[in-house]
Amino acid sequence: MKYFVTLPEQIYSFLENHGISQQEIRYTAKADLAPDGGFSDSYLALSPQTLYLVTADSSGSLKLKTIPLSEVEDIWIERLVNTARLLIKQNGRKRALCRFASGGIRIMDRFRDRVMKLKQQEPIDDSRLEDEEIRCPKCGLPYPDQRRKVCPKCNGRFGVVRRLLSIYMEYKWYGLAMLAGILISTGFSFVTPYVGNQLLLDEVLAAGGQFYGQVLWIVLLMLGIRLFGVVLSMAYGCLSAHIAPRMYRNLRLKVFEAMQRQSLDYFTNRQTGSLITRINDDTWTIYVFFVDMVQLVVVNTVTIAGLLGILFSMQSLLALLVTVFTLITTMIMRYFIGRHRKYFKKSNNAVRKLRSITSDVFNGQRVVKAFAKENTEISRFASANQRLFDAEFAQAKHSNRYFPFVRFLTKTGFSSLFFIGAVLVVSGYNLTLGALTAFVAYADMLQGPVDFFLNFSQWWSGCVDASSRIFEVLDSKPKIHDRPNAKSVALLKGDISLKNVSFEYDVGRPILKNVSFDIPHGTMFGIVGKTGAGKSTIINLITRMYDVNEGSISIDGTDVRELRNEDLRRNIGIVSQETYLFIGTVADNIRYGRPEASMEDVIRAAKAAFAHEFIMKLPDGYQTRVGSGGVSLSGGERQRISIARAMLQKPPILILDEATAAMDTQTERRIQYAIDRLKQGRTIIAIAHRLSTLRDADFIACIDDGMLVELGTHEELIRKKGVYFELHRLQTEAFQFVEMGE
Amino acid sequence: MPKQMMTDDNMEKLIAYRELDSSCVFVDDGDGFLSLTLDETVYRPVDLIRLLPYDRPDEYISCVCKEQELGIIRRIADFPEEQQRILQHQLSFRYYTPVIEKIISVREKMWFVFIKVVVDGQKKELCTRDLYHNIRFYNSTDLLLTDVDENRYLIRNFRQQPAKMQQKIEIYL
Ligand SMILES: Nc1ncnc2c1ncn2[C@@H]1O[C@H](COP(=O)(O)OP(=O)(O)O)[C@@H](O)[C@H]1O
Ligand SMILES: [Mg+2]
Repeated sequence: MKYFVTLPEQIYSFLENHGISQQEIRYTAKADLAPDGGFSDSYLALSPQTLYLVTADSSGSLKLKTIPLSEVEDIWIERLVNTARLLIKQNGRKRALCRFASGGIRIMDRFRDRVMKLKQQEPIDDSRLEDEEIRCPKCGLPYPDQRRKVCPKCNGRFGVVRRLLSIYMEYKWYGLAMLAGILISTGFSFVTPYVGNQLLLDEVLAAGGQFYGQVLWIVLLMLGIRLFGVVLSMAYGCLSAHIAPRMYRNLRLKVFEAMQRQSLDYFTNRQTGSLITRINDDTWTIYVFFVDMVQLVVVNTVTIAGLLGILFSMQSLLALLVTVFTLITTMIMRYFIGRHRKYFKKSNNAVRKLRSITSDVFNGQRVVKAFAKENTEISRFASANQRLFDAEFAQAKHSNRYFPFVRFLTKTGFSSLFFIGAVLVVSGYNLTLGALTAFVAYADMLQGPVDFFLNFSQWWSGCVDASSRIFEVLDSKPKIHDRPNAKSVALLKGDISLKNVSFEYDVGRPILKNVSFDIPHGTMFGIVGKTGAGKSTIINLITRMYDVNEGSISIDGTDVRELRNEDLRRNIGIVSQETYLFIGTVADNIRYGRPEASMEDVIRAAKAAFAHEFIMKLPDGYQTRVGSGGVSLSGGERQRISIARAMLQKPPILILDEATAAMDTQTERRIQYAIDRLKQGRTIIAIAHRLSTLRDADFIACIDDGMLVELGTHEELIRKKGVYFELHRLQTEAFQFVEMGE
Repeated sequence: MPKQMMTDDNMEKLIAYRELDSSCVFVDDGDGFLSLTLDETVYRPVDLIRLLPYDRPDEYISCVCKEQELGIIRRIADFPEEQQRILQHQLSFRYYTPVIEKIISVREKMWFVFIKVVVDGQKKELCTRDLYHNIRFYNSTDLLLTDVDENRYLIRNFRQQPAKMQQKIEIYL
């Protein structure tokens, strides 16, 4: 297998004409833009000693550029706005090799990496490429979205139907019972027109009929049939009440579970609103499908077939007319419904926009009020509201203009059917009056199922949309997941080691560059650096919210990727910049990581975090409800609760990421004291802006622009008179200034 | 390695809003690189960044060298013609966005939308997800479409395009 792209035959033969054999080539890449704009493909090929670039000029003839790797001093990707370039430094000169759309950066970056590795004769690990298969294993086509490994072709409509039905099959006995009930009642509905029309008119009321004059009997018979129908539908209702909510519950849970298993990036890349929609609306759509659709499809199919059978057996000429006529009206309806769908979608879209504006404004209410912008927001809402109105008005106008017309057509059709039938009756054409009225009643019964199938396509596509969104969730594999042979460790000691760690959230924007350091267990390790330097990113990697791109992170000598995630996270307590309190009491929030903790422990932790004093002052003490809808706490108070949360967990590794940033100096000093006491036998990583917080740290690392620039004890770093020294000088100056001012 | 610490003078420079006037000179170094002579110093390479890329593509252009803003061009039109040409060339290079000339078909498949288009004279099939979010007007006339790979495409003067083409994506707007 050759990485990364398959070159066209023509390129291979061109290379071969220049004496470069296919076997030599280890890696390939493609760039899709001409140097100065416009689409034009050029190809890169890499052999262990040489980099080849094949370009086509405007006439289409190919040109080869050969660059010996020994001359390559550096090669990197420059991101432009929608495009990027591969740049190279060769013999001291910088130049552009090729240009491509941003979508190609991911692969080009790998290629670039291989160029440098081959040049420096470093070992290359391609094994990881295998598990990021970029093609669908079933059909072999590349996934349209490389980051979400789901294939729309193999997961197409039929795939969705199959899977929906397979969920349905879990309830097949209920389903079958429901079907049976509904079929029997359908069968019964076939009898009604016969009894109510043909039997009544021809045999009971007409002189010479088989049951002439037995009016009471026929009334009782009709009553009996009705009653039986009611009983049947009650039974059916009970059954469906039994099964439907169950399915709904299970489906919702399944979707939520699948979402919870995703890695953090799944949530940071998406609007939470759309995730909530999936759990609520989409599962509802599917639920409706199960409860109503499956049954209705079967019933209506059977009904149509049954009715046609009856009609043809009664009078085939009329039946033929009915069939032709129904087909014609169906076609007309289909056309209108198709046009109607457009309006429908448009108003759906408008609803969505209105919803997002509403939630935006409500969430930002504090800012709205602070800037006295209520009226602006009202008019923003009003204009979105107007758009929704326009869409709905257009939809209503359309449906009121066309549908009555179509209905009129249908009704006229039936009148003419009756007319033709009447002519047949009068001319003595093997048709009684009773049979005719029964016939028309049967023909009328066709309308319902036909309408059903007309609307069905719309319901159906809504259902396919919803279920495909749901299956996307169920199918997408979390990026971070336990290896099959992941190591299970109950208690970690807390020796952390970073070796040549490089990381980027987005390809081509490196955040951490070759960072290495060791944190022996039982020490306090401080990290300082400017905002955006990559401090929190280091924490994200240690806790394995993301995986490193290069290098490795190990704890107690085991790579974090080899540990079970649950074990890893249980052993690490984090107090992060973003403190989030869940809906619940203060005590619940402190207990989040250790629900079984006793109240004494909770209070002890709260005292250590200096949260106790303000919790006492809350109206309901530890039972005060916080989180959205509850009492609102200040930033510093929230931070103290989350510190208590981490302290209660008593993890071997405690991470404080600007945990005290929102506190006043006095509270911060007290918390430092508490942390100090916690240090025994624990590894503590503390990120802080205020260097005084890190006075007790055993080691301090300075991170600048994703690189480790200094590492040592406070004294060492001060003596070094480098970055840390300057930071320290600035802060002490600032503090003197503040104190003088006070 | 320690970066030069912030003197007040430096700080002033950083927060100052500096407009570049036509006394500074841009030179096209070729290969997409640009250099700028300002206060008798030559900076290279200089990146041009549109601060209002959609509404004012030719105004408020920030000139950046090694992550430091050297100044802001208020209006390209205020520069001499030759300089304008260099700036425009650089901008169009940096901000190149393929233009969709024709929409051949739009097909929905699951949560993906496949759009066959002619873009810059070439037939291409684009794939996007959730078209409602990924296609939008970025100003009053032009549409911006983002595909799954986060490539972006332009549809210029959408309302002036043939009705057939408008209809194909109308419902997503
Ligand atoms: N989820 C993310 N996706 C993309 N970029 C991110 C993400 N999180 C952080 N970044 C970027 O990474 C850089 C480092 O961020 P971070 O580690 O949070 O810095 P800090 O040192 O202030 O904690 C920043 O430029 C930030 O914009
Ligand atoms: Mg941070």
